Amino acid sequence: MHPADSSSPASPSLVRTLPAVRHTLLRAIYALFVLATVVLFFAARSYGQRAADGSYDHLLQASALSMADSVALVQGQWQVDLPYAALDVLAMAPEDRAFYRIVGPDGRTITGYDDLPAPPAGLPSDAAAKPLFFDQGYRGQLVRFAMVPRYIAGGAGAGLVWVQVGQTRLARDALAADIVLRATAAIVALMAGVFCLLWLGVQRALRPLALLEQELLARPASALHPVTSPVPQELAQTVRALNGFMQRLSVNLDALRTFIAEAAHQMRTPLAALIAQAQEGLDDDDPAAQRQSLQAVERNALRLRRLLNQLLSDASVTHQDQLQRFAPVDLLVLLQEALHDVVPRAEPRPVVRLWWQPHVDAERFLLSKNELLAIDYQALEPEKIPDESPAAWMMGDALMLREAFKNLVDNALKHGRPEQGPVDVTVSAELDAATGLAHWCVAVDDCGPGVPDAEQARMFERFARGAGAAPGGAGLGLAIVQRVVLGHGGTLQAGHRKSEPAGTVVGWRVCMRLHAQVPQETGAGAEPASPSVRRGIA
Amino acid sequence: MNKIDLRPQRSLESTAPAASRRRTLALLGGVALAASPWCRSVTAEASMAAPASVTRFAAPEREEAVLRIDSSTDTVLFAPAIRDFQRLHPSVTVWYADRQSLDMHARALAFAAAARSGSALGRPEIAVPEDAPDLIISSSPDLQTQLANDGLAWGHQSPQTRELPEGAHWRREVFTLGADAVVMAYNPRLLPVAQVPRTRGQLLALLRQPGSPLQGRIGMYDATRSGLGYLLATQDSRFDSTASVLLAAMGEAGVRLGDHIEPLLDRLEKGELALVYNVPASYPLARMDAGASLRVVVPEDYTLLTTRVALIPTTAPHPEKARPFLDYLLSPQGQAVLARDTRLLPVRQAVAAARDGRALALPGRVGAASALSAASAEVAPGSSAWRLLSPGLGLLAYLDPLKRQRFLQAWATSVQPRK
Repeated sequence: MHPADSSSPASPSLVRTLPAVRHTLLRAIYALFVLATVVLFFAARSYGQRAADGSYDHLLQASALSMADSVALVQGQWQVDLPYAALDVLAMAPEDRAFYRIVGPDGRTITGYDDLPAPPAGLPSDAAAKPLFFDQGYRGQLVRFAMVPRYIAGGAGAGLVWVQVGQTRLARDALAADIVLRATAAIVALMAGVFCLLWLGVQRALRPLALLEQELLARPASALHPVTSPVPQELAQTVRALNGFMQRLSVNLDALRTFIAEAAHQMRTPLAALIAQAQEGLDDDDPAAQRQSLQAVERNALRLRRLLNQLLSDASVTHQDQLQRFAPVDLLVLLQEALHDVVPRAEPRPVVRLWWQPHVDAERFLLSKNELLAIDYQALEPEKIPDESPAAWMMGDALMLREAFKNLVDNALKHGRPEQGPVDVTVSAELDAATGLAHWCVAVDDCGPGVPDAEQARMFERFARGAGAAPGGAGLGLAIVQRVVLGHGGTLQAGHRKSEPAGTVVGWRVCMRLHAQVPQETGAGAEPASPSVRRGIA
Repeated sequence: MNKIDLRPQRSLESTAPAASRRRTLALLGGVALAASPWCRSVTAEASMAAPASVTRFAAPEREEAVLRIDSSTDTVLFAPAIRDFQRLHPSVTVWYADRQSLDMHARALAFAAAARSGSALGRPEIAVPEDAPDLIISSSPDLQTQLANDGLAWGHQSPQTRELPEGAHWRREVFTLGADAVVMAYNPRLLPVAQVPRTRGQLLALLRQPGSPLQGRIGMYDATRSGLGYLLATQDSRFDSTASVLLAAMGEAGVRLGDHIEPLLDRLEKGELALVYNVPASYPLARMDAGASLRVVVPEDYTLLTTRVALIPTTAPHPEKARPFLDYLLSPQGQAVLARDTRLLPVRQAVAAARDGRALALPGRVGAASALSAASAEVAPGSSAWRLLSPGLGLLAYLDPLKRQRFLQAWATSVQPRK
């Protein structure tokens, strides 16, 4: 890679973005705060009005009560000795005008402002007389009035006297406004403070992200080691996932490097042999020797072709593995296509049989022998025909699966001594008792020497070759199989073949377990799997 | 300056016939609640009471505006302030009418009633006569407060009024222009300085002692016939629980009552009286400056500070002309002129003294002897003995007609000499 490229990551602008978390969060909270402030403002306003009215109503009432105390009826004459305090107490509101009126039982004014407004609801009857408070316009201003009843005894004309005291609303409105102002100022200050704290908090919370970003930007392209800078708990999962991702990437890169090195090494040997044989043939004058050299050249070229095919297959599987385009596929069709590709046409033809077992305890049907694109039912015993055309559905990648089957069968043909007995491919349905899931078991049995238990696990590593392996393999085939099975979430098992007649043959058995899944729609449009494009060098 | 030309053509004794004055004063009860329908008809005739002396102060330059003032202060005392104002506003002609405060109050109510009926007819311009004042300056803070409380005064907001202390104004409609300490004036020839009472308690003792020099030689306002006298009597009864005892003692001593202060002071100068109780200090101080052998004593138990208050009535033909004059009177320059010529205590000093109990210097050119100290040296500073009668709601209580009737009955009963 060009060193300049490390500083400018490839097209970072192509990242799809959602609105910034900070802005979304702060905007929502801001809206909430504004709403809360408005609500609190109205609450404070109603409270302030009530509080101011309450306190000044007490003043009015006190004034009216002290006036009521000064009313007397002496020999039929009303007497009022208006207390100085009655009006002085109202002067607590220094800017407000005040009015009073004392009304006798006959409804006539004893003293005071004769034209004060009556309460809007009218005066209550004497029985239900209790202090009243109301607002009324008077002399061009809104005035708050209190009316206090007082029963005056004293012979003729005695009865209920009403004392009405009113005051303009300047002071109480000012008090209410003051309460509202203070409350609102406090609320706004509090909200602003909280909002600032929150903003700082969000900034702080998001700072590790910025640090993370800086750290990742500062790295050279090849650095895939885990993130070192500390992150808050909320980001731990993300960073862990990132670390895991980078670790896998790093492993993959390492594997790729190893693979390239190994593949180069593998290709060099047959090529060197090819060149040596060709040169030998050129140096030889003897036609018989030349022919031998040519045959050796052909052998080496064939081996090289197989190696190349495997390498390409591996690369395509690797590529496919990253794409993971799953569709409903029929394993039986794929197997038949694989057999058609793998089983050699030249004599002596090895015997490869494909078996179908619908359930665990059902009988096996022979579906095809060697290779058949169409099942020749006539060639089979009539009673062995399954009652319907069988299919083994699952969700998978047709190309990858086909490559895996090809490699398995190819492996069995290469190392499984086909001259000693047939290679059997069995597709059987199994039910996992633990999970209740159905899956397919694709088993390939050969009649070869088998693999010792100690080596079973190693067999599926890249470029690993069994001890009893025939010459001319790169050790790629089984690695491809394993990758495909893992990519499909399946499992791979290897072991000894069940001896067919008891204990006579020691063979090797590889069994792929794959999740079965019946496609939702099985109409004409639901192509299980497209016929694969043939890859490789013919 | 030729003050003689400005002296109104009447003696210091009121020229109004006693009968008309009595009628005017009898109206006071009605005046108190003139807003009430049952007394409106009565107040209307009050505007025809006591003719006033009206003086025209022509504008020094080309006349562009006219300002009419109703005032209960002698023209000769107020002239310097008007002249000073005209130096600042040379295009204003000032008409100054010297009236009784009760008369001014009744006129204001009558004009307001006329304006109401005029606007009811849709012709407010014919309702108010052309001599309606733009500014009313009165020595009755209670009556002025009542006008404002009845909604008959314009508010006045200006830099000058905004900085007034609390107590110097009410609702920025009624403004205190200055204060006048209420003192006892005595004739030192008849009352030796050693015997001069410094408190009301000492006055009571002096009245009661046998062979008292005050026997038959004490005078005071007739509360039943003088607005200011009534105000001072009611305030005495507020602040002094033994006020009725003092009244009774005065009655026993054969107190001489006057409906105006000047005749009382005349008799004091002549030696017919030895002491006059409850005198606004500006009157005796003016006489002392003119060489009269009078002395004043400031009561040390408490001293009332009566006030001159101004308001712009809602019936003013040119209220906008009254505002600059009011601002001038409240400005430091105007206050200085008022203190020098009308011997009113500057309003800010009076308010501060009443609030903090500070000493006040009597205005005028009396000299150091006239320094007023309400509190004697033993009284701790801060315990105020000044009682400022600033405009406010409290003053309205004694304007209630029933209360007034009761009070005056009791007052008259107290001062009735028991035979």
